[in-house]
Amino acid sequence: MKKLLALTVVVALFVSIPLVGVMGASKTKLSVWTFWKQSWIQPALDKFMAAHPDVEIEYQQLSWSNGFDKIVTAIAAGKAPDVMELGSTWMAQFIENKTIVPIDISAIKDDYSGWEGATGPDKNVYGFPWFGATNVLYINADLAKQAGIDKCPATWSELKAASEAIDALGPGVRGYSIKIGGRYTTWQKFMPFAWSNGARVLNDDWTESLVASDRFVEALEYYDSLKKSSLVGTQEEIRQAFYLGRVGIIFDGPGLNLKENAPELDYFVCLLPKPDRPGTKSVGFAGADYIVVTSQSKQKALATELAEDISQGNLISNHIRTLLPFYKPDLKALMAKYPNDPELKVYVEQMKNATSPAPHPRWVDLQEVLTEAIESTILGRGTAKDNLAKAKKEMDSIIAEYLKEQGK
Amino acid sequence: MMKSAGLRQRLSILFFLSPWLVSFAIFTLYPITYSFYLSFTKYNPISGQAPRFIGLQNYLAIFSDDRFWLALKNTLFFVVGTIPVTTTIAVVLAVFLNEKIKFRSFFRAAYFMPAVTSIVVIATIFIYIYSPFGVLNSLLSLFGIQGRNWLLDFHFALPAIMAMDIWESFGYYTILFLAGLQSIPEELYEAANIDGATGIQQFFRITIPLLRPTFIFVLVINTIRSFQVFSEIFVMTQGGPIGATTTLVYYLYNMGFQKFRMGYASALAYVLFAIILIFSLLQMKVLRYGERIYD
Repeated sequence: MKKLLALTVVVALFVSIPLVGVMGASKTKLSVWTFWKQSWIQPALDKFMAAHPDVEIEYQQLSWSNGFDKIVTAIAAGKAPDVMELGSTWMAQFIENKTIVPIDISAIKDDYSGWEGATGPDKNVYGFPWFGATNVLYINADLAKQAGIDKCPATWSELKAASEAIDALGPGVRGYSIKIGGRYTTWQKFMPFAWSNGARVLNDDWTESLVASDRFVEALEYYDSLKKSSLVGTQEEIRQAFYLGRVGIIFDGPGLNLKENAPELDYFVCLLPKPDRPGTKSVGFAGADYIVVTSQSKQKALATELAEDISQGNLISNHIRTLLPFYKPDLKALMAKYPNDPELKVYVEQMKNATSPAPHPRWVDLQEVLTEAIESTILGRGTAKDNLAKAKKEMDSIIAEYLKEQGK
Repeated sequence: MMKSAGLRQRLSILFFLSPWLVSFAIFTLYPITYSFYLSFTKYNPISGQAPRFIGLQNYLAIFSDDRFWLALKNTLFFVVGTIPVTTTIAVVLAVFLNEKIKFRSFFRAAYFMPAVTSIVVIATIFIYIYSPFGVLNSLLSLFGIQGRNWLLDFHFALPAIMAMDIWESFGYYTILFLAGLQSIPEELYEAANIDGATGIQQFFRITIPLLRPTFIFVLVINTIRSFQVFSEIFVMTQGGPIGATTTLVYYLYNMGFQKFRMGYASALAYVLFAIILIFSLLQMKVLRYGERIYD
């Protein structure tokens, strides 16, 4: 019994030592969670700590595989960080649930682009736009040359012709590549075709789905018509095929990383072709990351200041230059640093007209329905028109349910 | 004096059991109980608001949810398609590995290998095997068969994952059957030999009946495991294409951790629990039928 008592005392001592440590600390602590190496973020942290010597910053790098789950569980447990990075796909839900707080942008409104994705239904802005990724067309230069293509395809019919010409080179080579599978890939690769064609997923006041519109159907029919000369596969499969020269044209972003994955490959970069109809323009997909302040933060003013510091200084773009900064002076600096990078120029150009879906709080459900309509069409289960009509019906009921919940 | 000795003994038992008891209470018992409560609530973990009690609404909603029925259908297909194959291969292999063959230890270890390999690693490798330019299509092309993109094919995606699952799991069950085989007394076979029973007769009249406890164990464990299939789906297809590989646990994960409908996800978990319980009880009842004959 005595031994048991002794053991209890020892355990109690060990538990209490860290507590004493915490109680003894006097510095204000701010926690920051992003998906990047601390050394990349450090310049902003140093700048902030120099201005606030009484503040200590605890930085944590989240992993791509489970970082998001970590954020969610931390919030549920009431242990959210003060400042964190959030992708555009998650903004709507976090805004709806008031997990993140609005920021006052009156003084800096013109210094950034990309506010739309952080703007809630209440017109408040909920985070600093940090960097954005868009997709552009990468074309294997050797295959293009063999197929007699010497310039970027500018229109849908030129893209189709290029895809068919490359596909005709032999059985081991496909022309374009249609990526499907996963939660985001299918719709993110297709939607730029629909947007370029003037179509949208939702109407202005988010009361109705527009996916059954003629423009939308036309875009999906065109996309499906590329299939004959395309490789259909998952993002990874298609990237592998492109690295190996088995597919001529890929619609991809910074993640393709040809310098590392296929350093020998000769390629050129183009804007996404636009519909043949005059008056249309090439509209890309803008995936953006934001730096937000959580509503659980006890130091919101300080945290907002720190978030702003992180959103500036090209912390990410200095390492991956095709992840473009939203802070305008940073973009200028980046362009000045690499004046002769044709790839960067195309990214910047594509980003100018890039957009993302309306941040509807039920986007997670809507994207699932949209994905199914696109995949069904590409995999030959029904026509574009029928699949989109069905999708519209499902989307409308999701929207109606949401409006009902909101009491509208 | 006696009393205090008894108390001391009980306390020391408790003390030695406490590492497990504490972790069981914190990491298993509490979450299970809490999620049962959540299944009657509406709860969004990122909202910062407490769960709101809504009675049976989640359970009622499940039964009119088309995606739930699709997930249940896919899961049943997975269970019914994998378990008989896995079990048959495991029994046959166990009998084979129980014979005095050359390199017996090597084969035993080799068949068990997939069972000790991480499922995520296996799934990642199979993604490459099943890809359009993968090993499987290259092999098929040797026989003039046109390959396909297995994991993006509405009809073949789930069977492809099932094939991988069978390959991954039969080694483990083989070892269990092997242990079962070695507990069958040699005298029974000697007696059967004297009576003139053939090898086939011995297999069906002695081996299979006496493996009954192992069968029960393997089937119940494998059923529970198969109903809970998740990692393969998560790594390989994320439930696609067009929901063709969405299983119950993947659907539940999607509801809870992508859409933050924790109450609904918890209700799904309890429906799954009920299904597994019914299946397990049925299996035990059916397989135990007539057990006494061989006691």
